[in-house]
Amino acid sequence: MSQPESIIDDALLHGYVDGQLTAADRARVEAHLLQDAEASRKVEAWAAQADALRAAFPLDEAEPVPAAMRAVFARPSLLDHARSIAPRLAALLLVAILGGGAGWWGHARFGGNPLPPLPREAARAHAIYTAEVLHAVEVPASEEKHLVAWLSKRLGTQLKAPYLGNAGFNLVGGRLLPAGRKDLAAQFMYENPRGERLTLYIRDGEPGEDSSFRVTEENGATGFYWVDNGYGYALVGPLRRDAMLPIAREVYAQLIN
Amino acid sequence: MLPFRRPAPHAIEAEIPRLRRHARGLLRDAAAADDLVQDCLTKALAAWNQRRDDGALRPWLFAILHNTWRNRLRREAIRPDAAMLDEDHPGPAVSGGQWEKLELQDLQNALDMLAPEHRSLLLLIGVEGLSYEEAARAQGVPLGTVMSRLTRARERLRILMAGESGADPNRPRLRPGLKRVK
Repeated sequence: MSQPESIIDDALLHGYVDGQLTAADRARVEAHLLQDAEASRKVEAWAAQADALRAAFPLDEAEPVPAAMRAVFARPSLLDHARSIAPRLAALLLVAILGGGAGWWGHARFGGNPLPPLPREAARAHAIYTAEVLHAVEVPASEEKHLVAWLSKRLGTQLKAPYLGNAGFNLVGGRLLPAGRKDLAAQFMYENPRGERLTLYIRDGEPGEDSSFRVTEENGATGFYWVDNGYGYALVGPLRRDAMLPIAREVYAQLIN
Repeated sequence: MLPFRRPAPHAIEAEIPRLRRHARGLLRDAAAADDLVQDCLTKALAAWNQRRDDGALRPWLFAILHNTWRNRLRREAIRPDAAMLDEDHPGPAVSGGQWEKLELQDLQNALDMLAPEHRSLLLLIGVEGLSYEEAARAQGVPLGTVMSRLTRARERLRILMAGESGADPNRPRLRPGLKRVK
């Protein structure tokens, strides 16, 4: 941007305002501004504009990034792919652990019932779909009404996607899942700004009597389970039991109302 | 919490706040701006392996954002009342004295009255702090064009903020549906 000694053009004035000049050019412009009132007014106005613009558009780096934007980064490369299956392997391990813990459930409650134990199924569904970035849900929360109506119809009961915003979790969406040989399950997924995901799993055809909360807590993930009126419910998430309990209560309270 | 750990963030992800800020400056409507950024991110990721200059991530991203935005403007220009692409588009007429103070609302109104490319340039240079060369790359024009656009943009904004009408009364308004597309 060096110019012949005598010419101070607009490009130099802009460079002066934007701090994009060499020290020599800056000195030249400063000397010129002392003599040229019009150029001086221009520079002043432009600098005021730039200041006002910066003030009008502050950078908010703490603003949560929408899930849809994060979902774009779906690890396309081979290396990234290898990295991506690590959480799934870990999730399978979790399933094995939760499944072990679920043994008592199956024995105690169902005997020879064809439905796999609720804790194991809910934990499996949780592990599989929360690890998904692009296809975490079948129907997104933007179509919540449709989602709830559809899942209600398929499960044959009026479902609700509980509002968990007070706990910092927003609905991501949901999906329909098979349960056993002939029954169905619904899964609602929630996410907080830190990217932690909860799932609420609701299964049709649950035998046995209504139950109070049962809890499994393994490897950083906690599951709360209960049976109500022929439906099995499971809330699974990567939170500790004391953090999960109020959320489970909230879910329960909203579902019975 | 190992099973739920996310993979290391992509380098582009660190730029998301800036991209969103710029898109909001361009579009005002936050939802439309996020939609634009979403498009931009998808394209950037798809083109990631063909990226030539590894040093300058930010101008590269802004170039993609700019192209995506231009394409949308072009599509919208088919509809009446949509933003015009004409650089000298005078914008809606305003009554005199409306821009007396450098207040936020006034500034944004004034920005909206600039030609889209001028608005974009003021934001790229003034807010994002891009060098003129980087802004030229982002807008896909020669450096000389950036410098002349910058003068026109700043002078028009100065007039708008000083209380004069941004509309040029001598310039005939184009009829809706017959807007010039370059």
